Amino acid sequence: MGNKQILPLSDLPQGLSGRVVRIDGGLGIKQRLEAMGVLPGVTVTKKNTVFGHGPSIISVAGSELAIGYGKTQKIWVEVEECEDSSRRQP
Amino acid sequence: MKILLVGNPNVGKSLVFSQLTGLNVTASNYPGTTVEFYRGYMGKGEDRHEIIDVPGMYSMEPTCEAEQVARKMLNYGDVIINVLDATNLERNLNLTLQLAACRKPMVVALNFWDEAKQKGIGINTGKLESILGVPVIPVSAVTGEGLKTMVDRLKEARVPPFLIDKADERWEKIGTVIREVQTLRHRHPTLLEHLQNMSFHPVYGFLTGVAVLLVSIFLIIFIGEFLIGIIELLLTRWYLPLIEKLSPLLGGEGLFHDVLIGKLIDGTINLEESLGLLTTGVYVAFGVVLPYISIFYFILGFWEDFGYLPRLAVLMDRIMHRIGLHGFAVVPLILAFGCNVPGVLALRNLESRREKFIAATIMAIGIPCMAQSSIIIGLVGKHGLSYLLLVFAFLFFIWTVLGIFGNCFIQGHTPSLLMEIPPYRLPRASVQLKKLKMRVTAFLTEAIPFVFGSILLVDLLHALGVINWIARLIAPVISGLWGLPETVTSTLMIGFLRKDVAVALLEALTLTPAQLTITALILTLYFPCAATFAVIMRELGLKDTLKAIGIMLTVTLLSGTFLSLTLDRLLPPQALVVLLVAASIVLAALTAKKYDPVEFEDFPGT
Repeated sequence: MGNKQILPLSDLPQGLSGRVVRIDGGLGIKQRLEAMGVLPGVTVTKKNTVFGHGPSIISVAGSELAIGYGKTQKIWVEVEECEDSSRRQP
Repeated sequence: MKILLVGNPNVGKSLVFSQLTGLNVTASNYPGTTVEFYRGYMGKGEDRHEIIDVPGMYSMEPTCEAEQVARKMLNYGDVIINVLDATNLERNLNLTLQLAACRKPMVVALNFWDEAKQKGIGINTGKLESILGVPVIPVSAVTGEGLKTMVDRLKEARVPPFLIDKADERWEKIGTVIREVQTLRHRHPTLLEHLQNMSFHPVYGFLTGVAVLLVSIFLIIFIGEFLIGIIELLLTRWYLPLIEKLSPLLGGEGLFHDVLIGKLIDGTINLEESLGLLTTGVYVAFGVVLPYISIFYFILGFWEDFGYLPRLAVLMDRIMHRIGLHGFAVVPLILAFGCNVPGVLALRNLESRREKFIAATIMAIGIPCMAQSSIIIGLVGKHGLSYLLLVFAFLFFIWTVLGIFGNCFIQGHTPSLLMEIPPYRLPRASVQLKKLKMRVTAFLTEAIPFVFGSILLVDLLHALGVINWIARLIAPVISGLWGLPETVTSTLMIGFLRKDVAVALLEALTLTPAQLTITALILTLYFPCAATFAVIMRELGLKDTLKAIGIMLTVTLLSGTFLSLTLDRLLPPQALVVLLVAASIVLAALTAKKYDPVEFEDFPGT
């Protein structure tokens, strides 16, 4: 499993989890996301997206967040292998 | 002693506040209900303490005005009650660890304790207490459980014995704390959780959104009319005979009689048209507006507490970006349909000045409050559904045009959405009724003096001849551009005070359906009522308020002229409705690609 896939949160398929590796942008966006529990090293799960570049619903640190498309493009995640059987094929 | 209630948004601080002080403040199930601080007292004598309900905050770095208020308040208190959501301990602890930097004695209240238990979340409070070094008390603000223990243990409040500066270290610490104190038991998802997962479904999610809006509107109108029917019956049976006896006692005519009872219509007193304080004043306030306000806030209160509003905000996010706002702006806009004042205040949850300006302009110009809507529904609706639909279709068109205009020409940016989605919660009847009672009482005490005041004013202005003088002055616009009789001038003047009374005054005038529709629309557009104006001035500042007024007057002039030229002359109302809605959609679609904001996400922290 050498080459783990890294992609922006906006492209993470629904139902999959990923570990945040990098957040693009300045201090403002990083601080705001950090306050909600989204920071490098944290695992997030994409639960839903609203179609047509709508917000993504992710679960992180025990809560659900809606993150707009602009921000999800700037959050890079490393796709994690699913341990449970609830994995959905993209 | 000054005690601060501090915590993340939507953890139930306002409910704790209400329970401790006996005062009622609005609590709902979405982040950002409280945007200013509230002050109350608990206890007696030596034990009398000041309690302050602080707006929710996610971190010590404020990102919107509501959080700025919260940040400032932190310096003001002596003791902090840090309210946490026990179902969401991990994210909530982030603020707890940061609050340690305030060096103030603190206790931690784990709210939603019962809900956490139901969800299979176990928290070892003893362990958490020893890790944090401050008292940790499980509470349930809805039922009041645990609050007494919390108050008793306030004297054990301690300054937390740790300080962690770096964010990643802080989250690492939170990770270890969670592993030590929290246990999760697996259980099957409940019906509400199934519904939760459905709410963003590409098909069902949107259908639900549309259904929620339509059903709400239908219920408001249907139940509103029903309540009005009952009240009208009571008024004519019990109240009117009383007034009819009073009238001769007051002499049957003269200034005093005119102010209190008004003019006789065809020799009899008419509650709707006589224009006296005790006739039209009472009828407008209690007979029409009160029923609609009650049912509107009942239904809004249900969706607020159920937790649907944030989901609606997510679904609407894409559409809202077309008009320079993001999804959360839906919440203040919906509140504005009740009353513009809380709507404008709720704008404090938005991050940028640009968003605030766009949303405030849309509200002040294009969103009639429930009081005004109820009279419009009653009055314009008499002439058929198509005229009533035209009023709202025209407003819809105005929202779109204003939003697109703002999105294209107003400097700045609109960051994309970032919002917590609370779980669905079944509203409790007792909490619902309390909230409804609070809002209706607020209407009765704040609005009714204005209702009577404006009727008094119109009577006096008529008696003094001021209205005729002004009517001649602005006749070129009123009759020339808008094709309205000069008699509507008085309603325009009253509109500065109360829009509902202004529209109600139209009842006594003889207007064609087209003229009535145009006047009702102009009354909505042309200027906010005194209360809204004051709060917009405060929130936006003088410069932006003047800009908004400039836009407002332009919109009113153009709209009135356009409608007077077209409605019932060129096109029937039905055709105009279709035309306006289609034009809005086409406009939004055309401008979408060109002006979709470069999603400029970085905004300076304040």
